[in-house]
Amino acid sequence: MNENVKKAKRRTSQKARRRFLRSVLYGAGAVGVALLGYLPVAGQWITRLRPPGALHEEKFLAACIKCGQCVQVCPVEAIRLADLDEGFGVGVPYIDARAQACDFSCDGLQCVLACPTGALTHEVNYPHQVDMGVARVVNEAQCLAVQGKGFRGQARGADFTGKLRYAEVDRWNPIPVRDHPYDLDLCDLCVRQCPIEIRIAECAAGKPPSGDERQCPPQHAIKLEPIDDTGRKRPVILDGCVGCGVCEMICPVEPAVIVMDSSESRASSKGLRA
Amino acid sequence: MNQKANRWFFLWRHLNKLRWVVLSLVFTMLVALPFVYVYQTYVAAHAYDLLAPDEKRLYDLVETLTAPLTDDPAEDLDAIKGNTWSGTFWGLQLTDPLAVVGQMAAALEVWWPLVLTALIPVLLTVLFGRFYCGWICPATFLYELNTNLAVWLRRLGLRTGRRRFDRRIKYLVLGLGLVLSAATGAVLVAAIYPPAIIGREIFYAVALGGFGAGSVFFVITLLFDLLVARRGFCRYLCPGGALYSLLGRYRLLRIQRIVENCNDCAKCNAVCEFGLDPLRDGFGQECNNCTACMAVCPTEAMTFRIRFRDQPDQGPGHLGRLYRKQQGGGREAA
Repeated sequence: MNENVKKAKRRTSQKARRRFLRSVLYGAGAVGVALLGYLPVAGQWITRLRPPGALHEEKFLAACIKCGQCVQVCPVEAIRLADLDEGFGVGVPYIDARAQACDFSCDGLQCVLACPTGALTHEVNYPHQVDMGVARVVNEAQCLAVQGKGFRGQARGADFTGKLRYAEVDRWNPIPVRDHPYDLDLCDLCVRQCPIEIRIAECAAGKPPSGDERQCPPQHAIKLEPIDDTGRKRPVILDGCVGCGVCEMICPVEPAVIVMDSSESRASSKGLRA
Repeated sequence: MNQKANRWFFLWRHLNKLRWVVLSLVFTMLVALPFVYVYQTYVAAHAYDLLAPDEKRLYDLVETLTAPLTDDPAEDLDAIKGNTWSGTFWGLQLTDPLAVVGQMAAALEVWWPLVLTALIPVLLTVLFGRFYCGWICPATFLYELNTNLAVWLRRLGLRTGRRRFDRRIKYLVLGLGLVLSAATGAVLVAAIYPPAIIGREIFYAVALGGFGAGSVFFVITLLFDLLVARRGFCRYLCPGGALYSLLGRYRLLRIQRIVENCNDCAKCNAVCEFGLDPLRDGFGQECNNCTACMAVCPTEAMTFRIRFRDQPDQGPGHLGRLYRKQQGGGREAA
């Protein structure tokens, strides 16, 4: 009798143990399968332009909780969220400058203000303090200015949906680039639309953005340098470049003469708590 | 009959409806936000004079509807941003505790401004237990509809999942998720936590076009719930649920059974989404105070109590057959 009870008890405890082990197995299997999906891309991070104020890539990935609030406040819809192709970086924000660059038309760096985690560090207050990356001139030979050509029409064609804020059209609101055709004797779109250069010009005219002297960038970001005396010029990136990507977006040449390089970006960004 | 008075039960039994209202509101908010965003950016990018006639009509409509509430809808609609994972509500930033824990693990640092945003949710969880899972979570909204779908499918004669696993797996998932977050330096839990995924995916789908991998993951969890185990993801796998359960272990507000009123009908057990055992006082740390058991109880045997621990098993309900048999048996022996 007593033996039987013991046996029955053993049997039930064995059953429970089996069920527990099976559950653990299923669970581990599910997690494992989920992880497998991430593994192929785990090793190789895609270096992408991160939103203004982003910490150094490693810190940034650790700090970002993928809530998407920066996406929600961007007035030009520049910020996108990465999908599974970025492995563990799924859900973190990036900027595809060619499609829509950050033109700082929000003035106040809304994405930085919206970030709850400090992944976009609150140390950054003004556009010229941003350090997203650096512009690089990659196929200079194609550049219209290098060829001495002008530019007439819509910068990126009639189908391009990207937006820019043209202070002379509307001080507050960005409008589609296709609604603002150009007529230039020598193409200088990258310099003309550079948010840093625009701010410098405004400051030089005695009218800093929002009437705030601190908005004035201390360094130039890009200039056209004469190649010879035929009037041909080439774009040169200067120290003031913050990597916002407007020059890449506005460049009418396909593929763009200037592209953003974020591999060296945020080199000066401080740590999570800095 | 020595039934015990349950004074407020007429209120408690309707809480489940209130819960559905809350769940619907939260979900509606998540769906509405991206539309608001699209509207805002669109209005901002287009001068009113340049709008097409039908666009003007839409603009005027929104303007008329919001006129009593605000002068500038495009600006005032900014009052709510984000989602249930982390959001700003009239200037108050709230963050899911799992986001904070996940970030701490990934960065191996404490970022106090973020920790502070989780303070209110943590406090509420300590008081009310895992209420987030039943009352707020946008995934719960869909998961419970999914459960209802399973009921309909069963009525049609189809078989749905009824497997049971060990509920402790989710603590393993939480632990493993945090360890892996620390190892990889990315907030991994955000990738497998349905409420975080839903907010993100809805916004992305509406405002920016297209679903991502998160949606695929969520659909898989829905199928898992439907075909393998009822409410399986929340019961057995959700890392957030695990964290909330731990936080709510010594919650103050508990649903408890009044044994004198209970007739052992077991409807509470059948309706419990989390597979708990209210019939035998088995609430435990995973009860989310969803009040579904109160809503179905035919004998007013469920009530709220303020205490730190569950009542131990009180035995069969006094209105049930088992209790009478026991009593009868007792009398015979005496």
